Parts: sequence; structure tokens; C-alpha cells
Amino acid sequence: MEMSLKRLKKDERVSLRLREAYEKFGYRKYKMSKFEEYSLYLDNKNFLKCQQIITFNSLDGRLLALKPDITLSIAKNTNAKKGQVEKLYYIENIYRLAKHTKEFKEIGQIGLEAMGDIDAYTTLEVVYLALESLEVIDTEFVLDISHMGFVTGLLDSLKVNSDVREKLLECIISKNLHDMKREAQLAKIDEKTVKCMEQIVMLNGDFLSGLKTAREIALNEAMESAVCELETFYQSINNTPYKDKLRLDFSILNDTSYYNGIIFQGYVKKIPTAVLSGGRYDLLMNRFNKEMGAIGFAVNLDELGRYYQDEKEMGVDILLLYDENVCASELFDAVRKLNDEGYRVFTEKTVSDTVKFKKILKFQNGKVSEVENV
Amino acid sequence: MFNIALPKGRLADKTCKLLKQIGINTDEVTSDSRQLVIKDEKTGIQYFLVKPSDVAIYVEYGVADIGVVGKDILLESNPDVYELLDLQLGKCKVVVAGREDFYEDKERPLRVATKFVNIAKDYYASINREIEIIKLNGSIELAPILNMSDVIVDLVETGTTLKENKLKVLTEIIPISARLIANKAKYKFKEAEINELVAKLSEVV
Repeated sequence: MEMSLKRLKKDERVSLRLREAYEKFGYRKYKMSKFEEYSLYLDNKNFLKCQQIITFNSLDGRLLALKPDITLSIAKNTNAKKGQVEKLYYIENIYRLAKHTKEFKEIGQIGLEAMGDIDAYTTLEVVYLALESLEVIDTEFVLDISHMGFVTGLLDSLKVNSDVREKLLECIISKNLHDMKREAQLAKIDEKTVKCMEQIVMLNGDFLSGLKTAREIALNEAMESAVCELETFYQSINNTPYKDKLRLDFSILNDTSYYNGIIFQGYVKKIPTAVLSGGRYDLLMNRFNKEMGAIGFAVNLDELGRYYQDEKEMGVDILLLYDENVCASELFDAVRKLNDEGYRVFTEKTVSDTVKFKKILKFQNGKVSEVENV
Repeated sequence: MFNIALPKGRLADKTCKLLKQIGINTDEVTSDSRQLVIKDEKTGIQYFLVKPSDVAIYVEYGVADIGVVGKDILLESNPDVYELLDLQLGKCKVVVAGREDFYEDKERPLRVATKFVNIAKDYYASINREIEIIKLNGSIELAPILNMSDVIVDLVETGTTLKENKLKVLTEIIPISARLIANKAKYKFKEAEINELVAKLSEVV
């Protein structure tokens, strides 16, 4: 029996539709084991957004970990060859520390990775699929795009110590102009550069005008080449229906020792945090001694169920009341008949307060009839 | 239009005054109401009056689009929000204070009583000093008086409480004031309105 997609929960629905979208472009499903060697995560601690990991010993004494991340394993396992791209997607659970409860949490993730010779086409394809993923969740969405090279290019040119760099970076990430000016003054950074940092923070999201500003304030080669890459990217995505959903925002940043190039974060109207994040991570591949590029993203499915709860879809359509003298097979036939008409039916002897229902009917003398005065 | 989380108490009154200066009616908020949610029908702005240390939580969870919160709380809880403006209200400092006759014994870890555990840890880590934290929730000044701790890390506005208890400021760690914060996702969808508010407020602070 085919189940109506509408009956599924939001996260189940989204994950089915995303699988379809990714497979259309030839992405293959990747299944990984629940545990990995702990050393994989230890060696790449900064890549993980959460540093706490659940570990345990295998029977032969090796230290294993419940996976806190998927990309690391996929990057390590890929055998893409020169001149080719391996395209994979996954639907997996990961285990991370939840910030507010300070407890480990199982989080459902769906994501995709393209590894190998990443060119303008592959970048366009992956960003397009990120946009399509967001649209599947909610028609009101935006995708913030940034380029690692632009902000790091600026910070590298400052020649300040790592403490100051860290603080300035924090200010850019939290769009905090007031503290940034204070820090810049303390570190004796020249006025032109401070102005440039201010403009980076003040960019208002509109992609085209943002690109224009970015071109004007590019202080060095690294920043200029980042702008060039963004311009090429924008030209390629300009023909898709999603171009108005893109925002340019240099305040999104990932770890600089793994990510390079274009990075992005997606938001939908009802969820208060980024629901999608990803980007180009050639540097991670290089760490595994793989001379290739990589780009990908992950969608956090966990929040969907909570923020897109559809009250009407909870419970059943019909509560069917019957009495003790009922003939079981007759009642069963009546339920099946209602099922065939498309109704979800719950049978009970008295009106239940544990089940939500839209309509109440009774089964008596072999017939289904309306109930008066419930 | 917006949901704004305000910290109950003096800071809420001061923020309302600022909002009034830029033409936003906040009369109902300033009146001594016990209501926790106050809606201004004309502007569509909804105000939540919450415990000061909870403002950032309401904003991070997105039920409030923006909020007003002390920098001390931001430093302590490190929420993932945009910090858009220094409102220059509720100015004070986080300081290290000790007894007037305090003399530091550098041979053993320093015992620090505070409610700002993270700020204290970060500060002493930055000067490579080993410490033992004693987490307290109020009347921090009592700890060094009773010799439970060597020093305290606490907020100081005028210094009167310290003086009355024969304590003195040893080091100033960081100046504090109220900040306007915004939820990152809500900001993307209400960017124009939030930026307009920030621009107007920045003219009067």
C-alpha cells in the first residue's frame, strides 16, 4: 500500500524528497558504520563543531567513537581519481553535545559531498541542490554565501597576533561594530583597514550590491581572487529560479584550517538557527594526503519536526466506537472499508482522551453510523 | 512586527526611554504591570519582560527577534546571536576585588569567588594564573571577608558596596554595558526593519 506523503512527519517527508532530488543529479547513497576509530576525530578536532565525543573500547582494546560527523569519514574513504568527481549523499544519525542541555543528543542529518576535480559546474550543482533542499523545507528561505578567502585575506594582511585576530573574527561573526572598533584601536590598526572591516560587517545581504562593495574594498590579491570566484559563481547561478534567495554575508565563517573557497549557510522562516551549512573543504582533503577538491553540505533534520508541527495531521481521522457484543470480523471489515476510503481509523470502546481525532463514529449492529451527543 | 525581550527592572525602563526617543511608544511597558507579554497594537511590537540572564536564551531560541542584554551575560553564556549595538546603558565593570590588605601568595592557586565563572576562567587563563573557582550566586563580597576566597570577580558600578565591606578593586577586567542582540535566523527575514531600528537607536545613544 502506498502511503500518502502528507501523512508523514515533516522530517521524514523532507528526507524522502531530498533523496529524490540528490539522486536526480547522480549522487549515490553512502552508508557508514555507527562507530569509527576515535583517532580520526582526535586528529581533526577543529573540524568538528563539537569537541566532546562518546567513546568506548572495542573488544580488542581499540578506542572507538560514536560518530559526531559524517564528512570526515567520507573524505577519508573516498577513492575519487584525478579528473573525476565522486558524488555521494547520506542520511545518518550523529551524536553531539547539545549546547543548552549539556547532554549528548542524537541528531538526524542528511547531506551530500562531491569530491575530486571540483569545477565551476560542480560548485553550481551543489549550491543549487542546497537551495532546492531549503525550498523543500519551506518556501520562505535564504542562503547566505561567503568566501573564506575574503575575510582571511583581510585578517592575514593585518599582521596582528592570534589573540587580536581571534577577537576581530568574533566581532565580524557577531556583526559587532562597536567592539571591533575598540579592538582595532587598541591594536593600532590603520583607519583604511578598519573602514574596510566595518563595510564587511555592514553588508546588507543583497548579493549584487554586496559584490560591488566587496570589489571596492578588496585590499590584496587573496581578497580580489575571492571576489572573482564569487562573481563567476553568481553569473552561473543567475539563470536559476533561486537567485533572489542568495545573500552575500561575510559574517559566516568556518574553521580556516579546513575550509577554503565558497561557504554557505541556509535559513528557513520558522527555525531560529541555520538549518543547512556547507562549503568548499579542499584543505581537509589535503590533510588526508588527497590532492583533490571537495564541496558539500549537511541539512539538520532534527529541528524540523518541532518547528513544523502540523496539528491537523496528528492523531487519526475517525474514532470508531464499538460495544462488547461486536463481531470482531465485521468490525475489522468496517475498519478496512474506511481505510480504503482514505481514512485513518482508531477503534475504542469509549471516547479516548489519548487519541486526537477529527470525527467520531459508532459501529453497531454491523453498521457504521453517526454519533449523537458525544 | 518585532518581538523584543527586555530584562526586567531598571534596564527595561532605560531601554524604553531610548525607544521612546526614536518614536516607539512604550508607555504600557514602563507602567508597573505584572503582565509578562505586552503588545503594542499600533506598532505590532510585542515585549517580553524576562529575567536579565534569560534574555539571550529567548533570543537564541528565536521567540524574541531582538533583545537587550548586559555584555557580562553575553560573555558568560556566549550565545550564538548578532550583537548589533552598544546601547551605552547600565554601564559598569567586571573587576577583580579583594580585601584592602590583600597580598597575593603566588605559590598556590588563587581562590576566586564569582558568579561569572567563564569570565573569571578566561581572564586568569589569559595571564596564565592557576585558580580555583568558587561559584556563588549572590553577596559575592562576603567570600573574601570570611576568608573563603582570596579574591572575587564581580560587577562594580560605583564601588560603594566594595568600600562598605572594606574591599578594593585590584584589576579591571572589562567594561560592561547593555547591548542590542538579534537572533541570526530572524535577522535574515527582518533585516530591513532591524537595521532601521539599529540606525535610529545609534543616533540617540
